[in-house]
Amino acid sequence: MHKTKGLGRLAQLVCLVMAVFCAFSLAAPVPALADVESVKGKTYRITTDTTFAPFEYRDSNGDLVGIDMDLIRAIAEEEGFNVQIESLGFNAAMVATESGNSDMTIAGASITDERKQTYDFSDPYFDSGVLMAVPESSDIAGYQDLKGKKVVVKTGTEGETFAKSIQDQYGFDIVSVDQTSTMVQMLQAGQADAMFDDYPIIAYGIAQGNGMKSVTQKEAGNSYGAVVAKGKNQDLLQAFNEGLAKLKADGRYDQIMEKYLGDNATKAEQTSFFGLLQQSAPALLTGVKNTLLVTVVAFAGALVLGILFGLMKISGSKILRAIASFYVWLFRGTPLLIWAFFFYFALPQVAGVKLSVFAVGALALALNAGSYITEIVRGAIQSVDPGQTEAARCLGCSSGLTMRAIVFPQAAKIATPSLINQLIIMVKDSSILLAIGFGELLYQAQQIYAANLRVSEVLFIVAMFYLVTISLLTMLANWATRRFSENG
Amino acid sequence: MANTTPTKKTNPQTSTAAAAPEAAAAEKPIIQVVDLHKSFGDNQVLDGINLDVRKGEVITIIGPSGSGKSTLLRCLNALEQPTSGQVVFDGLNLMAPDVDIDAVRCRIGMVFQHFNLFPHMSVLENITFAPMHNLGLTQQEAEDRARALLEDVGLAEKADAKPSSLSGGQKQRVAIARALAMRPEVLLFDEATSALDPEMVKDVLDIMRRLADEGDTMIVVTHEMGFAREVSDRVIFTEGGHIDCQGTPEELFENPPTERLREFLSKVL
Repeated sequence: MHKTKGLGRLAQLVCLVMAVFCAFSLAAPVPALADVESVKGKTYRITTDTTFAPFEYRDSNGDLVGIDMDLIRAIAEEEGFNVQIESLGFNAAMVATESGNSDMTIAGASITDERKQTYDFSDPYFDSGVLMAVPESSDIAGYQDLKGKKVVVKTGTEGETFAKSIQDQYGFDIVSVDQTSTMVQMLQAGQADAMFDDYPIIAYGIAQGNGMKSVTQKEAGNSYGAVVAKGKNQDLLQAFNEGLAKLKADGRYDQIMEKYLGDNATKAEQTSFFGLLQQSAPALLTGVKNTLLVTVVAFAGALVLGILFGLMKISGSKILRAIASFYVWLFRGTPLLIWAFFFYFALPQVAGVKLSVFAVGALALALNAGSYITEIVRGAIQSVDPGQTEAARCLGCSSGLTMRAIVFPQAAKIATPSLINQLIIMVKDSSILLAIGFGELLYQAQQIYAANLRVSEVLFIVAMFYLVTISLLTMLANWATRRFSENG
Repeated sequence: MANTTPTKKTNPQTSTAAAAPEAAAAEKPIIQVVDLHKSFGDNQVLDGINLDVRKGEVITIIGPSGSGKSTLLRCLNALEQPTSGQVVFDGLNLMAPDVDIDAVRCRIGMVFQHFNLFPHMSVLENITFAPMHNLGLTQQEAEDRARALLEDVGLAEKADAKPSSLSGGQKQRVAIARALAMRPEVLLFDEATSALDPEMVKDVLDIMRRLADEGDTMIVVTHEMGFAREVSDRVIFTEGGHIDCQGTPEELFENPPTERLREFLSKVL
């Protein structure tokens, strides 16, 4: 199936960081005896991919559906446990399970020996295989026509492995991208000539009318299994296997497969642009709400950090100045994404601290923006005319009173435009948090186009949402600034 | 007399305008400057200054740019830290580590070339701020004092204006009122008219002249030779970081005792 190689590069980096810390902190896990009965009544956190139709995707109502979702829900019902499903993206979902942030991942994960080092797999629930797709108008009729052509594959998937294995024989170029929807877009735009992906994905896309066709037979491939962290959650794994066997025995398994892969498979409705806008608005508005919420909370935190470290930067103490400079150096010199990954995946293992995805997002964003605000605060204070301080000190004011009553109010006025700028940057930077599955605006857009494959239109709509949001926010900030300076 | 020794004997008694209040307080200097040195990096700005200032005395410091006159003035309230030497105000060594410099500065007013009014406060707030916070006056007391001072400088109607709406001359008159609101024992003027348009200069000089007539102790760094000549009890001419010569206005302006002063006066008069 797809994603045989396991984790993407970023996630590998996170794992490396974690491995270093874990080497110190973790003892070998002790395998527990499985007790299927013990799962009854419990609620488990299940993580999954965001964009892997028909295994998991969101329908037009924004509900998570797909083969994996129907399977896990049916099994949970059969075995008497509850599930709380979160779609994080494939790599994030796998790492979450490994790190103990979730109990099980079901995301069309191929069963491979490499992954068995880290995870315990359930019994296979789907036999996959790689299939090639080309645009409907293409002349390509088989691998032999690929000479000199450009083939697009998804990073870390079985499709990529297979394409590489026949690359020399047929003489084509390979481009690796992150998402199925990107591959389809490249084919539609003529930037690539053929794509390799798991056959159910290709079959689903063609059934949805994505303008592709398949011209070859599928290659024999891996099977998919659900995973738990090695040695953990054995009861849950056992219950999954038992439930799966029951579904296969009584025909419900076949019903699910028929529902998504059969000739009468559920189709996403093809609506007009305004229909699409109407359809996606509720999810996008939820995204706007989450984006604004995390931005505002993080901005408040960043202001506190920025003022604190900004003051330290201009203090007389060498040590305080060094601490502040270190903070700025560290967080201005590293990508936001690394900290989001670190706090979300590594912190639970290193320090045993589990934070919600919102808390992680706000924390990472605040620390990142705080480093910029530190410099804004420092610059603003230093740009207040030194004559102001001299005048106040000559009137007998202490340095504290001078700072508080004379320098700060003037520095605040100087800093305000830069701070509003920073706030707006943060609105856009918060989209990086989609990588840990935070449901902000761009994440919602990805969910939508992963299901309906209308990437360009959805991106256009989401860009409008960003523009409107940021325009309103700017107006609000300017209004608040005017009010503030009138009253101050 | 091209040396740095203060010429105590020759000066205050000879001046006429402020002779009476001065004679009473003449025994003990309110400010004593002893062998003051100040350098910025390699640049020696003050090179051994000695100076006594008596209560009620009006001293003007003149001299070419870079001769150290502003730096000297700024050392008198410890706005600059001297490299060596002492400034003693009313028996308090300002360079001592345990001196309460904020308390000392409450007793020494300063007026700057560029006014340095607080732009985020009204004219009235500019004047009441320090008396309320540093002298413990109530808002009512501070405002009464401020309004009276604004009346004195002819700006009573500007109490609620923001400094940005004032002309340069008006700003400087507010700045003087702000300094006076602390009822300081000494007033320092650092080129208070240098940044003003010519027609504004007179308003400010008139106020300074009135303060001098009222017996305030003033040390004035200025390029206004007319003012120095007319108002000072003593004129100090600085050159190359030391006091080149000093004396009454008559002594210095009528018959300059040094070649350097003659040269300087020939350029500015």
